[in-house]
Amino acid sequence: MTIEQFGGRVSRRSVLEGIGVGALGLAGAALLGCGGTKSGGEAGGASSGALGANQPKGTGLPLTAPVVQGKEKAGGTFTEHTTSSYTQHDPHTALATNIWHVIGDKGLEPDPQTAAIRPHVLTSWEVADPTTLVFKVKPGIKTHNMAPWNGRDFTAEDVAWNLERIGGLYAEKLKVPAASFQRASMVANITKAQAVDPTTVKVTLSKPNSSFFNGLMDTRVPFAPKEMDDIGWNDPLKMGGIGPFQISEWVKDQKMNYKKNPNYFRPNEPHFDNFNWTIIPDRASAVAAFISGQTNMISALNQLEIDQIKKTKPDANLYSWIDSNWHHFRPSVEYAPFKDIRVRKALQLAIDYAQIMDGFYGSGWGYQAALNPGFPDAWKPEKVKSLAGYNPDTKAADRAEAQKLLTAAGFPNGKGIDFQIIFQNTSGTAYPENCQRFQAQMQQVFPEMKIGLKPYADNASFSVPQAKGDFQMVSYVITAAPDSVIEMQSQYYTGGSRNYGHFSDKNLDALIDKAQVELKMDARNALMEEFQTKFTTEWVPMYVLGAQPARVMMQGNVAGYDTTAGTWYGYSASTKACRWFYVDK
Amino acid sequence: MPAASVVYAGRRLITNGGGVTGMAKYVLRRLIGMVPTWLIIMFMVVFMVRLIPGSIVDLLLQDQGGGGSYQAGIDRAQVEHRLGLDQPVYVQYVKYVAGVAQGNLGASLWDQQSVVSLIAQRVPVTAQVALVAIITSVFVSIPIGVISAVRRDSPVDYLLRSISILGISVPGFAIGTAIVIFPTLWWGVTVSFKYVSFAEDPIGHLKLIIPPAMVLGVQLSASVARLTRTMMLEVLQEDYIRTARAKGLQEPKIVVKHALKNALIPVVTVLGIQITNLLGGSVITETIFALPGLGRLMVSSIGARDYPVVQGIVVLTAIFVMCMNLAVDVSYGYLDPRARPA
Repeated sequence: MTIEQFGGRVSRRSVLEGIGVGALGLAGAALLGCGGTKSGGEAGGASSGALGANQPKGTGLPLTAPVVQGKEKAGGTFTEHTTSSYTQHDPHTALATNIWHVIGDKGLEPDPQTAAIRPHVLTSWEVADPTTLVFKVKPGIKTHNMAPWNGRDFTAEDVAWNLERIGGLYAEKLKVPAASFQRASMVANITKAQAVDPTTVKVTLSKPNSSFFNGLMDTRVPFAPKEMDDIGWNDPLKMGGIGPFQISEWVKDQKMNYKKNPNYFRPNEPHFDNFNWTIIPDRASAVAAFISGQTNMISALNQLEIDQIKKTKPDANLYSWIDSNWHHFRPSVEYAPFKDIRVRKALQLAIDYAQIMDGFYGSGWGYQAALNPGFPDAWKPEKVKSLAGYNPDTKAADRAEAQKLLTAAGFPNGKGIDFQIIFQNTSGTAYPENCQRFQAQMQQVFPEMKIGLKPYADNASFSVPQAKGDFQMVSYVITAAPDSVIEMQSQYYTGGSRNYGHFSDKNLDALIDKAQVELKMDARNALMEEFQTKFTTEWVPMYVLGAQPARVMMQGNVAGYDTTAGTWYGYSASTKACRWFYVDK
Repeated sequence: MPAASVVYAGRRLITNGGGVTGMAKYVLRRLIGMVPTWLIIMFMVVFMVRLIPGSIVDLLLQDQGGGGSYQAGIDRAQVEHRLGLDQPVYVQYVKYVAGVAQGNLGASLWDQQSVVSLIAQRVPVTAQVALVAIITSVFVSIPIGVISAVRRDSPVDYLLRSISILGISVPGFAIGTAIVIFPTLWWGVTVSFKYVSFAEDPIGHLKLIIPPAMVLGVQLSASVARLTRTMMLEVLQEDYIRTARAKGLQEPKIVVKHALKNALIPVVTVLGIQITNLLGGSVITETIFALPGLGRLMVSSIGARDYPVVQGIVVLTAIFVMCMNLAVDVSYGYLDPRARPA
């Protein structure tokens, strides 16, 4: 395959643009054009103070991000809470948040509002030819000053090692199952990564991958020094990275404390001297800890909690946006009625999405169809809201149509359809309420349909039927990948890692295959448009209820959150904390 | 041959002319009797912990992104083999018993830390909370029970009984949450959630320990106060109390020296048994107050399906409960000579 196949006289830059803009809005295109010229520090600084309260930015999604005024006060300790200590410490196999989200750092980073690629550890990203990518590593990045690294330079060799390891290429050597390298999809098709010189990495792919650059923006694929396999991934206190903070204390079920990395590669960051995590398992206690000032930040707030905090802590700031987490009901096509598109479509038309999402969140959530609205190429909430099934104004007509479809499928009033929904019955989560509302709605529209609810006490018990696909319908929350094609592939591709309902359609698979190797932005966007259209009309592999609201509250004397608030900035506060600071008010 | 004796609570108990005493024989018999109970408990816990839906293998696979591979049935077997969970449960049981006999409770399946060291780190926290709870309850409940009995059917009695009933009725988690939440909402302050050891900061440590101990102590106090009252009422109607009054002894002396001492015999035994209940209560209080004790370790280990840790906690708790029961029985014999073994 040669570069000419992408349109004759396609320049290297235009191919680069094609890939990068796959995850970009228009606002990001200008920045991308500069890819390779701006340093990570410059890029980070450029956004500082650029956002104001309630300003819709980038992808056009609503955002509340108050700017905290005041004179910066250097240093201090920032404290957050989490419910339990991290259990897995290998960032390339762990699914959950782990220590490397703090002590490590990722190759590229997205603009939180536009999803534009910004330089970070990698300062440039180029397509030499469709199966060869070339990256430049920021010179002078230092590892943490601890043995055995003692602050040595982090070079292209480390990056090459990380890329190959993320891709699962060391699975055999490490005797770790290849499938355990969950984040391999972020660097799909990689066959080799090679350090050409101390700051240049050449990546060879088996076939083009339009998601590669976007994948490197994911917080879940942080880079580590290449000696980590020899050191082992069990003891957090032995781990050193290149991130803004360095591990200082680790006591299971008590605390995970980090100190500032004075040699962090982004100038003047981090601002805090210490970044501490206190383990508080009880939610009410966590809220109390925030109100009493023992923690500086609290997230995943519901309306009641927000109201409580505002009453007692009026100077605390609320940051909110439509999140990259989305709720859904996923039917299993192993259950005979769900094989019939008419049945799947009927349920899609019958669901009152607003009633379910309003019921739990009240406000702040966003309509979503196939793709999270944070993706630049995804349909936005307003568009989804206007579609059949989602549109509250046409709900009666849609439900009448749904009844006709079920009758045509041989299930008048839902008679003959009898299924269970499995979900995690975790207190404080939306799962039980979502299921109850869905059940009530369906029984109202289809009086003879039988729907049972099967709660599971915890994640361990829930994960068994979920992973086996041993259900008729499942409901939980998914965190979107940082690239729409990766998202499509994992959720809907035949045998996709998250395709628990075993949905399979050869046309959908073909479309995903095509999108993965499509390096031209316009063509890829056209494919995503086709995917989203057919998702709601021809395939209906699942019912996405909506994207949940993100609601974070910060103590009033902490500034800088406005520069990091938004859908795409990684998935945890860990990667954002280095941009925040205390102010004298 | 020197005279053999059993020393208990600093006192020489029954001696038997240089032979093993009846009490010692009794204790020895009870200790031997614990062994089969202990084996049965281990058998049950090894089996039952594996009956909890969901296994650590699934969690590990999920955390390592094994969703797809799990369906293919490849990785699961590998992980099971690595953890030794592919062997029949009875084999795992026998290996476990053999390990326990050598003082080896195994290692966490997640981070390979020794279970003994994990438990040893947590026991002091739970023990301190329990100790403060007991001290609190003794100093609160016994005076309440005595006053309530002496002032029988008076407004004071009704008030104290109502408080006792409230203490028994309101669950510990509600009291704990109230202690955390209400000061926060009213005054913007609450208990600290940042654990510090006694060595680091004695005062700070006590501030952490006292609120959960109060929660446990309140519940313990309520039941002990009611029992104390009942026993005091019974004793105060005994003939020897009437005789003491007839002799002109002062009422406080009658109540404290003659009545209370006898009334406390069942109270002490009940208190001993209740201590074991504190371990159950610690699961809730340690979660609410974010204390890194045995209860938290139990909860997190069950959630993580960390079988060796769960087994270790249950087995050691069982030993503690059995020993407490024995201690209660022995103390009962000590307090009431009629109950001593022949």
